[in-house]
Amino acid sequence: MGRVVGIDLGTTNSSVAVMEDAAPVVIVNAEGYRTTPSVVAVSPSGERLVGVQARNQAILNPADTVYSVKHLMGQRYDDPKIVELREKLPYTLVPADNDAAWVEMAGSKLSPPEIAAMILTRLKTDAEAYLNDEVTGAVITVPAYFDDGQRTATKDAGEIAGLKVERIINEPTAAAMAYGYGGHAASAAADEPQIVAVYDLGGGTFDISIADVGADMIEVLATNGDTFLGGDLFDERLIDQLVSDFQAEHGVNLREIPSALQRLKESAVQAKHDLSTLKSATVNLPFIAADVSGPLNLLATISRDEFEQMTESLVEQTLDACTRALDDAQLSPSEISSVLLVGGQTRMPLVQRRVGEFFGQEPLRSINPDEAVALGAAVQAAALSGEAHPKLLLDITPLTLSVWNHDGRAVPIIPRNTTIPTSESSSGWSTTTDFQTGVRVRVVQGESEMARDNKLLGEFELGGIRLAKQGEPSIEVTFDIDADGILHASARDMDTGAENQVTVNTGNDLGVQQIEESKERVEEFELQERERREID
Amino acid sequence: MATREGRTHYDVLGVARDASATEIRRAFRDLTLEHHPDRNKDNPSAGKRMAEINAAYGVLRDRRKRQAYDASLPSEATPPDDGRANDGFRDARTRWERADAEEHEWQAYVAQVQAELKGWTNERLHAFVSEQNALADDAASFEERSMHQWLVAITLEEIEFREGRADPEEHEWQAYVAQVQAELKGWTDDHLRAFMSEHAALAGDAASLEERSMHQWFAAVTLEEIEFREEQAERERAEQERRRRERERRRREERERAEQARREQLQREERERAEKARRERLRREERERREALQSATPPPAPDESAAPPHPEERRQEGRVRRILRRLAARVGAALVVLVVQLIAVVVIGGTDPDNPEVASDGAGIGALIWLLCAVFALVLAGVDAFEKVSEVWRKRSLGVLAALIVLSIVISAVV
Repeated sequence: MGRVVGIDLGTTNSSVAVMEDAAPVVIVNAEGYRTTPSVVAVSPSGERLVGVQARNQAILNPADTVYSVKHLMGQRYDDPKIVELREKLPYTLVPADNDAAWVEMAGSKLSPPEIAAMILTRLKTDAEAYLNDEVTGAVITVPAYFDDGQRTATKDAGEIAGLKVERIINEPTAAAMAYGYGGHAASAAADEPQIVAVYDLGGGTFDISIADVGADMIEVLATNGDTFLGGDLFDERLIDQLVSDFQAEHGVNLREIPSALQRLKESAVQAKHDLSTLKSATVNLPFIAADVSGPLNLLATISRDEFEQMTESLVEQTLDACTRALDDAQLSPSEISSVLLVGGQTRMPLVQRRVGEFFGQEPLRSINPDEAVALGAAVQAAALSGEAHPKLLLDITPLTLSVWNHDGRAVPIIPRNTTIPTSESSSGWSTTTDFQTGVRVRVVQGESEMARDNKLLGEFELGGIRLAKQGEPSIEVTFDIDADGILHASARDMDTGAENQVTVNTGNDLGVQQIEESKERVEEFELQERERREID
Repeated sequence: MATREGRTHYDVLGVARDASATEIRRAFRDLTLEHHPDRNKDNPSAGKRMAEINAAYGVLRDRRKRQAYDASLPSEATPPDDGRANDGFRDARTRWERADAEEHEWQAYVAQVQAELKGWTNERLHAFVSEQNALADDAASFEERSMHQWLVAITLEEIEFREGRADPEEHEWQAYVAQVQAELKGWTDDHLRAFMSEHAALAGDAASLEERSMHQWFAAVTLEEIEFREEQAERERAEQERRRRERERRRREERERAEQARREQLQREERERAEKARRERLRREERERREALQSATPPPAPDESAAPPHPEERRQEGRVRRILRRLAARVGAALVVLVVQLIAVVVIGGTDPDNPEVASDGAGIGALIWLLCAVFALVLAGVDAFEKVSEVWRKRSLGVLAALIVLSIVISAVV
């Protein structure tokens, strides 16, 4: 039997960890790094590239270099967030047959799970090289605030990569797991329940989770977040500033020049990293563009204060989410025993300062913000494969699951922050017209009272209802959430016993056949890649 | 509302109806560690069991949800009231009283008895009723009798529950309770408090058990209403606090936006100022460079006053030279004309030496015209040299000059 690894599939960087000698370790990739950029590209000569190599050629090949694919997982092409994203991405998005957002790369249309699978396959290969053993399964992490569709898409990506997805777990929960396993929690008074806040600001997403780390259990109490708020928004603020300054000075809009934008993006990221340790950073890009008078250079100095002013509102947004999570957990900031910072963006001094002020205590610095998630996933992987017996993980569902009522309201069945797995039945549903023999149950996820403002996860029909006046038949709707946080819904006519049960399909999920096809393509690609490396 | 299997959330967690939060939590932890699917990978029904445990705990951990759930349960957990079990045995404690330690114990006992009765067959229940009735009749003490009576009552309740037949008396009682509660809703807070303390006092002074329990019940039901109102006020306060925070947040954002706009404005102005300064500096540099060049060139020596000021030193220099050259050519031409005239005058004058007067006359007019001619030619040469005369005018004036010369020669000859 092969090994089961823990994978942190991030927006900008991914990493893989495994349990070794009762301690989780991060696996170094073939290039010698502990994280692999979540970038996939097709070079002009037709070569497929993943990771560092793909990222390094992004400047020269912006249209066929796909990054931040995590934002596209399980999303519809016409989703407002995706519409906004479409304008910013240098590569092209296309609608699939089922309206899902797909990517066009080197002339072929690819699903986001397939692209994510290429990254997962690379991580799998690196892990196999390190372990000298086959890797057959994985625990993959997702942002806690991912909805059902995004989770299903991530699971599909794992399947395409040829991995048995043992569990989808939430990133902040994984970090809490790494923390709880590392003996940090044990050093405090052992019996005293430790309430830990995990503040996870990654490359593309933000999560806050409040967890009770006990002697034998980690119980998540509440979670909140934003799947479109992360480090890349911080980059964007800086790029906006540089672009508008440049336009004011030279009258040239760098956003319209893909190669210039790509260079600017890299320099802005570098400047952001520099500002975490330095008081000011310089962006120096000679010959970034040209006008009638000749080539133009971009030379700008950004102070840490200026950068903090640009991004302060983003940090405020994260703190609002922290307030909501604490409200849900019925706790005050002073009841939190420790604060964990996870995700690269938490290296920013402003983030550390504001989070510290919010919780009235210094965040812990004992865990590596880039690796905690992968390490926690590895611990969970070991627990599921029976290699280790860490604390039992009790996670929750982040968003309320409701049924779309005929009056347009969303009627909650499972409220947010319910511990999973769980099952809830709601009776008293009925027909809206006389002699109606079928009902359509539409399942939505989100916090809005109006169903259409929430995300439609899927719909199914229940037929065979007895002929009766409207409102007479009695129908029971049951939602089951499994340990992966994935929903199974069913409806039953209490009079006739007719029943229909489905795993809710978001409509942008991949079918079994599509997964198989993608799997073949990805396998072939990885084979070529391996050959290429051997030649190198 | 029971679960599908007819088990209450309390049954799922295996705790009593009155279990404390700590007990519920402990039960949940123990059951979870035992039944969680992660620890029971080979048991496919573990997920289902865990879902049930989670659902039960989800309700019972939350005080408010638990209260609502308790209210929805069949009344099996409530001790019988309306006097049937009150005569002596449990004093005047009713379900309305605040829970104290003794009350907890009592309720636990009630639950236990009820749970036991649930397991019995109908026949056994009926047999138990007759048996207890008989024992009550034969009871030696008051306490003993009331205990047997209570057991009869609770067993009858179970029988009624099974037969789905609600006691009409119970209905009446519930209607009465609802009526009282509705009445209390309309009262002011002060009125409620006064009413409660009044009944609490009356209960203390009550002569009989019935009377006391009645007053206590009134006090309790009023207290419930008061607590309900307080809770509601608390909720409203919380809501207001939330709204206030929301407002503050919005104000802060507003301020931030304004600040942002102001900063942008300042930045723009700053940029504009910098741009202007840069342009001015460029202009100044250009001017300075030019002045430096000018002062380095030596002033044009000849005809400085005549030469019109021109910024281009080189061109000016060339032009002066050209003018001088032309001037010299014109003056030369005029001199040639002068010499020709002189020769002509001398020749003509010399042809008539016999008549010197006439000759002198002719020579005088010839000389006059010649002089005119010469002056005109000189002026013309000077003007032309400065390029002030257009091409047409130069040709015309040359024509006039030639005509004058011819005329002077002709006149001289004639004379």
